[in-house]
Amino acid sequence: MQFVTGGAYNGKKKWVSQAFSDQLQKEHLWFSCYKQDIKKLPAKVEDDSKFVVIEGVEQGLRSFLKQQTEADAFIENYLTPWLDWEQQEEERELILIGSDISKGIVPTEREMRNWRDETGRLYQKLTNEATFIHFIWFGISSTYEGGNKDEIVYKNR
Amino acid sequence: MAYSERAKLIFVCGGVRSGKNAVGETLAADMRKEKGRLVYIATAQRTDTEMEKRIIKHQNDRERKQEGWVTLERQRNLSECVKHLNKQDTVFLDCLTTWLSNEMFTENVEHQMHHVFDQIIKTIDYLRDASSHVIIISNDVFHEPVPQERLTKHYIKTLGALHQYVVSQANAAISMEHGLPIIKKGEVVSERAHRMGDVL
Repeated sequence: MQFVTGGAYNGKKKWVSQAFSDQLQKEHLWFSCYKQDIKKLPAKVEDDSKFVVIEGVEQGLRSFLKQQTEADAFIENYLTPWLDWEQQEEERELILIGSDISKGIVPTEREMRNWRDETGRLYQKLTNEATFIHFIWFGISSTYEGGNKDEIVYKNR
Repeated sequence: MAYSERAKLIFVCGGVRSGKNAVGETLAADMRKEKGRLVYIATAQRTDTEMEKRIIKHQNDRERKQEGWVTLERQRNLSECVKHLNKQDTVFLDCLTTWLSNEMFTENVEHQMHHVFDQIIKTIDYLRDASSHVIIISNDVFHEPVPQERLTKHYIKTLGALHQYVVSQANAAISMEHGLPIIKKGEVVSERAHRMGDVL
């Protein structure tokens, strides 16, 4: 799994479209949590897709938290099946895209605070789980190895 | 005008008090052409005494350095600045964040909102055609939940699109982190600006 993050409107989706254009030309699943409720996320691909993108994981988590308070269940219900799917075949690749919402003023509403906290915790887990993490800054990526290895693998591109 | 005659574009973006102005101004002074001036385009409105003090502090800081800064105060329609520029000038634009809000949040302009993006990128080109270097300063406001209020959301979305555009066109793009300039694109030739991370 590769985790793509960065601020809102920084061009994360566009970057993924360009960086993985070969994979996206073939059969794939692109699920946007901005367009559909996370509940609609399929549990598997019906066709021979080897490439799955889940965009807006923070939004998916937010709508999930409106019904459930246990954030770990979000990973279990929605992400673990896809992480397992990826493991089953060498060529399979899972991309998760999430906006960084961690650096503003502490929100006054409890729901917003909780969502922000849980998104932070989720991203730490994703970063730990990912083979690569890509930080997107207005279209420019900085790529690091996941698993908390503090090492620059690629230069900015 | 041929593309090659366009001013070099440098983008400096960071949070509040990240040292973006200090690094940007140092770059401007180092890149300044022999016959050119340092032209500071100030977009802030003098809305209250705190803002007034802030503007005066910035002006005094620049004057103290005795590098010969010229200040143009212009809140919107920055293409008007072009007539005051010479091709040798280095332009320092402070800042894109305020400029966009001035253009977007004036009375009776809501119908023009879709044109603001186009108008701003066109104006940046005009400024580049009329000078030797353009340094654009902006704020990073993208790392928190996007406000759902319609105008604010539209503002942040437009600012993000502008940042992406400016970075794509820029010869150099710098992310400021707590006084440390992180070069995201291109090369920054100013030794002084590189060292500022240690100095500030």
